[in-house]
Amino acid sequence: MRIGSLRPGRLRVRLALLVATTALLVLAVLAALIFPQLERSLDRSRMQSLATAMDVTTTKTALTDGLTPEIANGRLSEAGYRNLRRIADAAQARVTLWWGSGDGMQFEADSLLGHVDELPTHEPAPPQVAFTAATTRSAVMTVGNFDGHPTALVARNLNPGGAPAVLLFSTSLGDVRAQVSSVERRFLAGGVLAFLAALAIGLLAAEPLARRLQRLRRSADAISHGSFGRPIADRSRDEIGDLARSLEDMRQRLEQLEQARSQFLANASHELRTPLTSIGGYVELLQEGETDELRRGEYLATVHEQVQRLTRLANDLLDLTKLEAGGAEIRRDRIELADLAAEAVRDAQPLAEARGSTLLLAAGDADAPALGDDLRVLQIVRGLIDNALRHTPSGTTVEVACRRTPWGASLAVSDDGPGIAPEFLPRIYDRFARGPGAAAQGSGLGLAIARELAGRMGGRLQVESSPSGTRFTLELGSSAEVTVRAPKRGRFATT
Amino acid sequence: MKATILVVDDEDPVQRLVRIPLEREGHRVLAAMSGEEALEIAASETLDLVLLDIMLPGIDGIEVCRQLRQRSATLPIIMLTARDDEVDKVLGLEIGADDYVTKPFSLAELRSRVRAMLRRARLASTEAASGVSDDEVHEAGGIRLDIARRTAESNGEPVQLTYVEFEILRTLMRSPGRVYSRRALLEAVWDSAEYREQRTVDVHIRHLREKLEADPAEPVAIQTVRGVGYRFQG
Repeated sequence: MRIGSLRPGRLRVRLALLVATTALLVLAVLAALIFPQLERSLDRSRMQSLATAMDVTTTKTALTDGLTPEIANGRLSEAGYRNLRRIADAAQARVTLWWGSGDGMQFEADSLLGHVDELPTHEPAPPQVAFTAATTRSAVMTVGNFDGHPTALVARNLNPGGAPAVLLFSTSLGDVRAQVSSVERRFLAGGVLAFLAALAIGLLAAEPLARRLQRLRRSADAISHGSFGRPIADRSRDEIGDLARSLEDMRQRLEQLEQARSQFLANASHELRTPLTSIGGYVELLQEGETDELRRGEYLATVHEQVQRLTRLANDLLDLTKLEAGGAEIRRDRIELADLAAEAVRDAQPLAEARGSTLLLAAGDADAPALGDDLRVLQIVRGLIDNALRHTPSGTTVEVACRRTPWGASLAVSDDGPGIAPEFLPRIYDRFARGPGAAAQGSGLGLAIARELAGRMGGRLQVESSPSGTRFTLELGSSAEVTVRAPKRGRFATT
Repeated sequence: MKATILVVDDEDPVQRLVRIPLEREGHRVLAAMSGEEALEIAASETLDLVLLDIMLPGIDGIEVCRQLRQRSATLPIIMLTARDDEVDKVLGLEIGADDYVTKPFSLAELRSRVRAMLRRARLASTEAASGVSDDEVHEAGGIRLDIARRTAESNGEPVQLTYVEFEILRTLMRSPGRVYSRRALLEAVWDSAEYREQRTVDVHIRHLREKLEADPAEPVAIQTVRGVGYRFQG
């Protein structure tokens, strides 16, 4: 596996650091919660066992009995000392006895007995707990500093009512502390290990993420450099997968646009250069002069035809470009569709006769008022009639009908021809689109312009086609507020 | 010599136009208005040359060319195209056209191309039939060119070359080390460089390198001499 860049600021480094820092924080919080608690409870249990020992020695045994008269005397005999030593042995603690004098708050360390192995070399000052114990009957326990060490202390006044004689059991907490700090050290070492492990795991876990992101970046780079061919695949259901799917949608859209652009360029080149070829070729033939009068007339007619074709193409291209740029002025006057339909049908009768087809004005509503631009509506209707006559076989009946609609008026041009091929139907509005087998006659831009015009007049152009006929319907609104809109098109859409 | 030429174009004026000079030269001209029709005619007739428009309704010219090429590796095909940026693709092995004419073309250009194409095709077939150059085999730099059999090998592997690619390589390999200008190469293949764009030589050379060189970006056998042309280094 190739390990990606480890530069700081990289996503995977940041993720790994985040994971490791989280691990460290968790450990720190745990340590803060556990260790003082652990220390306290160990201290307390040590103190408790000391208190139990105090209880046992002072109340349930006769060990201290012998001491009492001596305490009352203010002196401790040899036997008293031995007694104390036995108490210390039994309690597993260092035992100190302080004699009080006077008001009982001035202790003198008269006697000191240590636990077997820790006889101090000097006499420490009595701890605060001894003074506290002197004023009460019961045992007092605490954890404090005694003789410069952390110590568990239990003190009891053996001579309540008289001059205080405080018996102090003390046991060093050094071993407890050492234990705790040893655990702490191990915990710390574990923490460092956990941090490093989290860092490594984080880096490894973030690696696939980083790699997928990098792959997406490379794909996006490729797209921005103009190559749309390779699909962006990331089938995961996570956010990166979502991003990949969005990018893939974008890529497909760009690819389609690029194909449409390329197709448009190819079509436009073809449409422009084919008539030029004919014109140039026939002029060349005429210049060679090896033609009779009849041929010359034929050649000139073809040249004229092709010049007209180029002119139409130039006009349509400019018209469409202007419309798409929102440039041409389209009026929204009150117009009468029925009148315009009648005019268009009248104008197209010669073509219908030439094609051997029938063109009728169907009985619809006598008046079908709408808002629009009369010249542009005529342009649309003429184009639709022209299409219906030219793209159907001889003998077809073409009908033009106007109707009032709830929102305005509609004009339908229908034929009983063989219909538009289903696979071609979605592309009929494409610029230069040509149905299978259709000969090149128009500019290939008529329907694109018609739809654009309908939209600009606040209406729409719709088509239905089946093997038994085709119907184009132009719908227009009757008031400025009504807009019969086709679905909004993207800016780069080619239809 | 009379030839049977199939003209495939869906534009009636272009069909009529192309037919005139070809018939004047005594050729038999067949017309197809669509790709389907072209394939039908090609199946039933013995053709000497096909003039094929790319933009056709239904099966387009590129697909027609590919299918014709599959049926016959030697049938000369000249594409008619409205886009000069398609030249690269059209001349490649994938499509396999031998030559192309960009619209708008003059009739003089068309005549010149048709003549050159027919002459080359005839020459190639007489060479193959008579076995005149039976022992003409060029071998250098791991590339072997057998003129009589019209086969090429690169390091023992057979390589498929188009007609023009073969002729360019043959010219270069005849005199290893000699520098040929683009014009000289066009003349060697077509007898005349008239109406021909010199950059088509670059297209053919690139295709040759892709087929023959281990690393087409760092060519060893076919070298570019900057500002002059190309040479073969055996």
